[in-house]
Amino acid sequence: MTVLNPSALYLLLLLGVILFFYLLKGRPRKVIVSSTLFWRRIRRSLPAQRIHWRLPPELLLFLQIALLTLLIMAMAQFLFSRKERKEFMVIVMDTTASMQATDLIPNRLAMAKKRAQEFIEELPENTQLALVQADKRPQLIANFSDERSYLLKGLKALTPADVRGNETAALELASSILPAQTRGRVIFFTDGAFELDIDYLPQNVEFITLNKKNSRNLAITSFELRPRTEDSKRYELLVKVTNFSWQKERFSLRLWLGQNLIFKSELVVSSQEEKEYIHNLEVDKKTILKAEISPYPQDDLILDNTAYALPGFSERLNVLLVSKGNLFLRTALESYPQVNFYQKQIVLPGELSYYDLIIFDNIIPPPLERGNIVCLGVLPPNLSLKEQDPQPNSILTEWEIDHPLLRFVNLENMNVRQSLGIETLPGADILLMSSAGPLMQVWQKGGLRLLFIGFDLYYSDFPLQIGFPVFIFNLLQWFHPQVFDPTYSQIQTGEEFVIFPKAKKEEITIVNPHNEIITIENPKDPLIFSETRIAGVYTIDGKSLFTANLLSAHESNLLSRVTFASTSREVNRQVKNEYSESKLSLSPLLILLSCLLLLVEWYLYHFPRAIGKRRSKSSKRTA
Amino acid sequence: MAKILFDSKFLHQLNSLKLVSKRAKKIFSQGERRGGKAGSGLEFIDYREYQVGDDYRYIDWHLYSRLEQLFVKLFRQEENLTVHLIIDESESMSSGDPSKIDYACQLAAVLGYIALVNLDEVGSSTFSSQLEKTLPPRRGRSQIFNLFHFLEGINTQGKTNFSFCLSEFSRRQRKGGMAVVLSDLFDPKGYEEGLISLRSQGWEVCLLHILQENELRPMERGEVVLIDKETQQRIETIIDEVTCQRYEQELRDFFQKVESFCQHYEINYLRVLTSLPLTSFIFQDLRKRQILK
Repeated sequence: MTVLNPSALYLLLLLGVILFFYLLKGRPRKVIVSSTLFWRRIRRSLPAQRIHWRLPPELLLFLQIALLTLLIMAMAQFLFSRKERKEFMVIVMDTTASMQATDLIPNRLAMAKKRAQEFIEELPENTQLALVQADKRPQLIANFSDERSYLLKGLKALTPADVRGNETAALELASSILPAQTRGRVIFFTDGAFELDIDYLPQNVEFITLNKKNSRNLAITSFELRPRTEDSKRYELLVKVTNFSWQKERFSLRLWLGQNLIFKSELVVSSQEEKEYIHNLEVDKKTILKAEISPYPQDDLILDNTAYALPGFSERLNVLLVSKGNLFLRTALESYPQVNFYQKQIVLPGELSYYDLIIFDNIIPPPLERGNIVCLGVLPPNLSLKEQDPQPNSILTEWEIDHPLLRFVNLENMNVRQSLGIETLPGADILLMSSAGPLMQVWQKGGLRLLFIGFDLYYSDFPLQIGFPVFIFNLLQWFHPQVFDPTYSQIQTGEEFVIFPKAKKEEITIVNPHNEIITIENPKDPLIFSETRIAGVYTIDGKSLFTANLLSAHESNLLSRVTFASTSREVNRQVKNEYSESKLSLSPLLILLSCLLLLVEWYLYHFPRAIGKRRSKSSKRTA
Repeated sequence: MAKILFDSKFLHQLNSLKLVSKRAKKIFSQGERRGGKAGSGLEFIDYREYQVGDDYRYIDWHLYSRLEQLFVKLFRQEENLTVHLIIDESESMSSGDPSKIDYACQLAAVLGYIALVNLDEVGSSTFSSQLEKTLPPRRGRSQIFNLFHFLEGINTQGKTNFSFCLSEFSRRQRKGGMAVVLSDLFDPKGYEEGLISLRSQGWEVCLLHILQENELRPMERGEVVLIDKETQQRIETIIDEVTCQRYEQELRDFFQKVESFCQHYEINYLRVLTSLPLTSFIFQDLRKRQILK
């Protein structure tokens, strides 16, 4: 039994009104007479007038109460389940950055939560509901349950993230958790501020959009920093500002380096126009660079008015080449100013932790447990791999051009005269495959990152290839991106940030832009830090670690691009209609019963004696 | 307590009235009432031959001188009538405005006054569940005040036990006379036995049935609880036109029954409503029924 319109049950309070009127109804008047002698005779002669045979007023009251109750039940739309069938529905809540827009008061997300709560509360009782949060990485907040409080608790706990959304993934997730062979439904509460590929849109998705058509937003959609080639201390900064409003916007652009204001300008940008500003700056040390725009008046989304970067390299790498001598490697490594180059023929196990990168060139390394290691033509003794006979003239069959180590490295013309015939390391990624087996493998376990190159550089023409110095750079950048990648410390909100701790630590403490402390116990090496939903500067051990910015034109464009949205009421009505189809509505039956009761009441009220006569006859028969 | 207030003009009018008794057993004591038999009165009615033992004083010597036969003068016997006013003082008599008991007391006072003015003996008794108070019959004008005082002291009380009380009365008062019974006859046990008992003791009975207007036709309508004034018995009922018609029919049957009973036992029965002015009842209805003349 289900009630589609439970609010109608409030009308049951009218029963109190009926009772009240019955209480108001006067009791029989007391009349004092000289004698009741004749009245007694009359009562005997008029059976219907006998008080016990008369229709008692309580019966009329009962009929009226029953009548009203039936009518209210009919209005409440009681449904009788022919066959128990659960309805499944996934509520997807958009919590991306655009939902922080204040064109709706207090903001879009709060309004969406309110609408979603109303929507949930009006749904049929046995609807199984799940809740999915849609932002950069969609996640299931509440699994299917018919317990509304559980879902509403999850809904209430939703907070907006400063991230660009991945709506398609969220809808796919929502669609995928719907049980098979059921007619589920996905309801997406969103502002529609995203580009949706309709071709990949799952079925049974209803959009309920919340936004204003005339919302205003001015955003920093690009904030890029690159070092100048002539001087590593000098940088070129690109700031792109886009006006997503339908009107011309005036704003001021400010650049801060640390606490110093290094640039300020009053600018105007037309509607739907983007403007780029390039600024040169010189940075001695690692400092926070902040770009800030202030529209006049304030726009609807403040989040994308600020962007951060961390220019300036502060670290130098200790790179050890364990070799009897390798000109190619030495020359390549020494060319980087960030590298402190060391060369030895023998390295003790205790010295391993001192170096940021160790390259074993045809010298068997000691047992390795952690560190950044490159093995050229040799295998670490603790990997217990069977070494086969050297393989001559290996022919390269394929290589991973998408792997960061081989990016922009052309190996088409490379020849290997002799290679180690080894099998694939368990769990390793093969970067370069040849007819003699894998020639280049990457293996990571615990704190150990190992690049194994299965041939001697002198037995190949690899050092003579154009790609060799690129490979060395890739190698340095892959092992230590924080030193060699200028964009390493700048991510988009919601992206993962990889941390390479120098030494094994019990815990790592990171402070986010809201000054919330995030402690990670027993961190992996490297640590993939994913709690980057807040835009701003993240610090570790008091030092700036990285910055996270929205920098998304899709997200900053607050205008809805969803053209086929419905309102929550429409969807709710549709759901109820579908739900009603599977149920037997008791309303017609209840209305029919009400009419019958009305008829009975009318008859009894106007012909109360009929009952008396019948009773009289029956009593006579009994006698 | 009934108030007996009559003005002098009314009393003067009453002086001309006299109670008519046709069947009452009269007391052969000196009285003002002309008897039907010869006796020791003043009014000459006939002669008869002297017989041994006749009083010499009544021999008509003038006739003897002419006829030389002894004749005795016969005079009409002057009889004394005892009028007993029996008043129902049960609770049912207290209803109405004026109440039935007030009306009954005033009527009794009038009848008593008329009787006393005509030198009849007048007594009075009240009853409800039993005989309550009795004013012994006396004659003379001084009895008027006794009677009025007695009537003023009547208070309604108790249930009606009509037959028992009248039977008891007839057992106590054996000398007979005229019994004027003033009652509403609302006794479920009936009235017949009491009246028969009175008649059997030689009482000439005049039954004055006192009712009030709304006892003939109920004024109340709708759902009511009727409470019996005497028994406090409650009856819940709905009074509508049909019920009223049934009630009136029931009442008519009752009246008819009473009338035929009284006719059978030669009882003067007269029904009176308290709404009817007392003078009208006395000078018209009672005279018309030849209870007064």
